[in-house]
Amino acid sequence: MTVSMTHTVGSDGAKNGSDVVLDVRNLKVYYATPTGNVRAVDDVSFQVYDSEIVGLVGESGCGKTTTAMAILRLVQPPGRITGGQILLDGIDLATIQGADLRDVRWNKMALIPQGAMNSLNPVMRIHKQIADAIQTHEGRKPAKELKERIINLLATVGLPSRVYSMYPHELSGGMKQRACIAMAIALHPAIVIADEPTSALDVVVQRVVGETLLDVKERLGVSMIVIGHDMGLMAQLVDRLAVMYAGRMVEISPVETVFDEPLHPYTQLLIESIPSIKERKPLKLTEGLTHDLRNPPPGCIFQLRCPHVTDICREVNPPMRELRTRHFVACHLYE
Amino acid sequence: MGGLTPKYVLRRLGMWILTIWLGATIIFIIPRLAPGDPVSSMVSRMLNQAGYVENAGQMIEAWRARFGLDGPWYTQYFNYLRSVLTFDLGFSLASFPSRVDDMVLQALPWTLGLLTISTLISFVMGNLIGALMAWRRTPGWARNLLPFSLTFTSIPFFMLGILLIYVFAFGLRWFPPSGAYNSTNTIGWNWPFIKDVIYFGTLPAFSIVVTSMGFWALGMRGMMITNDGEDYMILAEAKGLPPSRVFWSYGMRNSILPQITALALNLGAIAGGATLVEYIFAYPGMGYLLYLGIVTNDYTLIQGIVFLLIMGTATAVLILDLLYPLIDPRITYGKG
Amino acid sequence: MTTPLLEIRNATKVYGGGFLHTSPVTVALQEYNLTIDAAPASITTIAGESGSGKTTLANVVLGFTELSSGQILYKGTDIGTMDKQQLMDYRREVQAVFQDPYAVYNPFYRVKHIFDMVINNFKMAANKSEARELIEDALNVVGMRGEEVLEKYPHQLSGGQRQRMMVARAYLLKPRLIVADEPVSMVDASLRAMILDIMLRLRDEQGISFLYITHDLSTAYQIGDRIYLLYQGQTAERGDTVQVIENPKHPYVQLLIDSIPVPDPKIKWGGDSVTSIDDEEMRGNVSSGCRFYPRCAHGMDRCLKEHPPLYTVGPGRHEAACYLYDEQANHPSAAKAAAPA
Ligand SMILES: Nc1ncnc2c1ncn2[C@@H]1O[C@H](COP(=O)(O)OP(=O)(O)OP(=O)(O)O)[C@@H](O)[C@H]1O
Ligand SMILES: Nc1ncnc2c1ncn2[C@@H]1O[C@H](COP(=O)(O)OP(=O)(O)OP(=O)(O)O)[C@@H](O)[C@H]1O
Ligand code: SF4
Ligand SMILES: [Mg+2]
Ligand SMILES: [Mg+2]
Repeated sequence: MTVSMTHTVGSDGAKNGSDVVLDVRNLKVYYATPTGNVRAVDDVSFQVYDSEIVGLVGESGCGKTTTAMAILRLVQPPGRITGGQILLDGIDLATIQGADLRDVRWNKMALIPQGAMNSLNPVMRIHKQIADAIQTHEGRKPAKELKERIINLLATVGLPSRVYSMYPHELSGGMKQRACIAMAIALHPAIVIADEPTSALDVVVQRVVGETLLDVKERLGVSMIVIGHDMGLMAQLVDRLAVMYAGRMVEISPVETVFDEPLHPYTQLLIESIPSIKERKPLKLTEGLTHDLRNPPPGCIFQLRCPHVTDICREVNPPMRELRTRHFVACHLYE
Repeated sequence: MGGLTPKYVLRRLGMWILTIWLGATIIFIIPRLAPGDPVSSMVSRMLNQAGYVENAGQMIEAWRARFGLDGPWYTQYFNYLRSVLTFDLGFSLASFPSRVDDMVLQALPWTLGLLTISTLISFVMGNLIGALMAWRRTPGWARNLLPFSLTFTSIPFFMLGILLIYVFAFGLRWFPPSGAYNSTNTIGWNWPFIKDVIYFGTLPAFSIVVTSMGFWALGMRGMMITNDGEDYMILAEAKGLPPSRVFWSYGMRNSILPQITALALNLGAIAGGATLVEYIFAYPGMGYLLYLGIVTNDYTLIQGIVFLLIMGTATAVLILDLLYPLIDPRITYGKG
Repeated sequence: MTTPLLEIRNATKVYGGGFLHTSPVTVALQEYNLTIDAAPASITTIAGESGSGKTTLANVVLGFTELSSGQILYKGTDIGTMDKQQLMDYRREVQAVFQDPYAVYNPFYRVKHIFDMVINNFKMAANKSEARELIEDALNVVGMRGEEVLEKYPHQLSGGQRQRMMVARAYLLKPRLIVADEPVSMVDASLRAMILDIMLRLRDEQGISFLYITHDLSTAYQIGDRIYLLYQGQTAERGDTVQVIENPKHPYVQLLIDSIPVPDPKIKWGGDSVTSIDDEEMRGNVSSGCRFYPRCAHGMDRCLKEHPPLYTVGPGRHEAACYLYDEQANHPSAAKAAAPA
């Protein structure tokens, strides 16, 4: 198997010389099914640097959520991390267990779930849910200090202090999502993972939440992984973009570079099919289906839909290579 | 917050009164559907069956005087409602001149005690078993053992009752087969009597608990499974909360709410089920009394008990309804 | 003037509030008007934020929900007064495609069953081979072949296939109008393009009109002819799609278009930051006047008094319900104030 090259780039790839916060190496997550293993994440490597937002995109079912859940160690059975390392502050998250794992959770990595109705416990007041996280990790606190801290957190994400004692159903979708952001940053984690944080919200609220995320990143300097499928939102929000296809990473690059010049044919397709309100252009159609995730074909993962497929694509899996500065792509076209 | 608004309370109270009134009215109407005046026809039916009824004439007179059975229906109805309001349930037909109120008052504590305790135990244990069966983090051995506790659910409880009496009363002689206490003890708050009550109550309570627990367990398991898939459960785990806290504060806390509703809805059925258990164990509660009423054709007694059952269930539902908005903040009835 | 294909007149739909109901009253549609011309076939977009009443509109047109007041005229006949035969024709000529292609199918029947049911219901074919031909034809229109899908169960199809099947099913009946409620919001970019393309082809080649319901203005911009923007059950702005999106007039529509993230990292979200505004707070129902007033940056006293009528703001029946465009008013400069920079 080709060893991925991504982890050799930490030194020159860092933005303003900042450090690697999260280093995912050759991660594999399989779901066991009666008809074989679904390779939801297959040999994925990438890094997240200090105070940056990495966007993770790809079509539905390509393994974005699974990747996020693996980092948080929340993959649900029949899913299992079958290989690789997830290094966060020198700890390999892929292998720690029990109390060690609970310690790392929220202290170092937090989750902002999808902006759906049920990401907060419906029968618990907002402050209780935030206090839960704080007190589990820092022990009991004087009530006054705790309250002050929670109200400050709410203010950080632009929520008024009365949200403190409200129940989730009394908040609108956007407010709930901001309460989740407040909760996620409560312990100053090294990394926050947001799984489609705005996809259930309409554009106006989506923008409010997006700007809250940007603001939190600027002010607190946390790193984030934001999962999404809206390329427009990604363009606004992230510093680097990671593109997944059928369980594998196909391209990683600073967002400006990849929008300027997408290299992988799948990324090209993604960017061309963004609907625009600036110009009315003919629809971009593609044919072909994704292969069955249980039996990936030998060679490139995108060969069945790629317009540029050649013989080598059907035989050899292209390794990730740095073609432009900090711009990595896994494709034979550029050899 | 907390959805308990005056409007809501008033509406629930209204429903409660309406239920009781409807129940009372139905009880009033049914015997009057037959031709003739109800007391005479009931007495004559008893006469047909028993051959002889003590003080029959006197009894009919007493009834007539009380209800003005010769008057128009609305006078009768009015008198009836007034007596119901004052808990005057009239005389027993079979054991005149005993009053139904007195008979019921004697039986009530037994049923209340047996039912409250066994329902409580069954509700708590059933829900716990169900929750553990569903929870992802339950240790494997417990997960395998738990379903066995529910084997008896599929057995009708009178059969289980008979089985219990056969094994534990006649076979092993660990528990008495029937009754509620030894008549040698004085009734009251003294230790020998309390011990006696527990001793006699174990088998009936056990048969209720064991057969009804499965209902709660299965309901709870369903709720927990649904609940476990919710994002807030995953978030709770992501927060690094200890598993026990996730289980109690996020899992149980959320899943128990619909179970409480189910409890309210099933109170009637629970009371009905206890009738059979009391009959099998000859337990001197309301169920046994009802059974006696039925076999002796004591219509006024049946009426009285049925009325109390309706009222008891309606009241329990009322209490749960009033509590519910307090435990589930999502329910805010009628903004106003 | 010819009779329009579909005309909605003063439609009002109120949810809740009846006898024994504890839920608060929601006015999902209020005095709503909409016209779809008989010819040429067109794609009419209904857009607006979540809860603005889009699905309600679809449901009343399809007859799933009854209006509280108002009329829906199909080819000039009120669907409330149609006789059995007319209603049958209406049900055949007006078809639906929904958001969630998973929810529509019965998982226990093969895909074929869905088509057979339609054919039997409307007695469309005399025999099996004729039926098969019709089905095959419908599948071809959406780029599929019968042998590929008919014998499969719904879960064996991909999301895009399922959604195309829904379109094929609708097409089978040779409808005049297809009501599509968020048909592409659950599928990803490449499949989205395919389905939108099918809609365009059906319009141009088969003369089928669409009522395209979406919250995504960019797809509307790509394929739509006329657009209606809903705000809390009322039209905020309507007109030719390109006109409205390139030159929005109503403050709400301006806010909406301003918030769409530009797919270009170099152009960051325009306008002033909205983070500080707790705008969702202000979405509550307003009892009188313009419903957008609490969120509007241009609000005037008169906006509170009465709901603004639709004023003409541009060519091609481009209209906006906003007092800023009242030519008669004393503020001739007002209209300029709200025009986008
Ligand atoms: N419990 C499971 N059993 C079997 N396969 C699963 C299971 N959960 C997920 N998968 C498969 O794993 C793959 C990746 O799923 P994942 O949820 O990570 O995708 P995603 O990229 O987040 O998609 P979406 O954009 O739809 O959220 C999918 O093909 C899915 O079918
Ligand atoms: N059956 C119903 N009972 C009560 N209220 C309803 C019902 N259906 C819809 N509503 C309310 O009517 C309003 C309009 O709802 P509708 O579903 O039409 O919105 P929508 O524009 O389709 O929103 P979305 O984009 O979220 O689908 C909302 O406030 C909604 O809560
Ligand atoms: S009518 Fe007034 S409040 Fe309404 S949108 Fe126009 S300016 Fe704003
Ligand atoms: Mg996902
Ligand atoms: Mg809708």
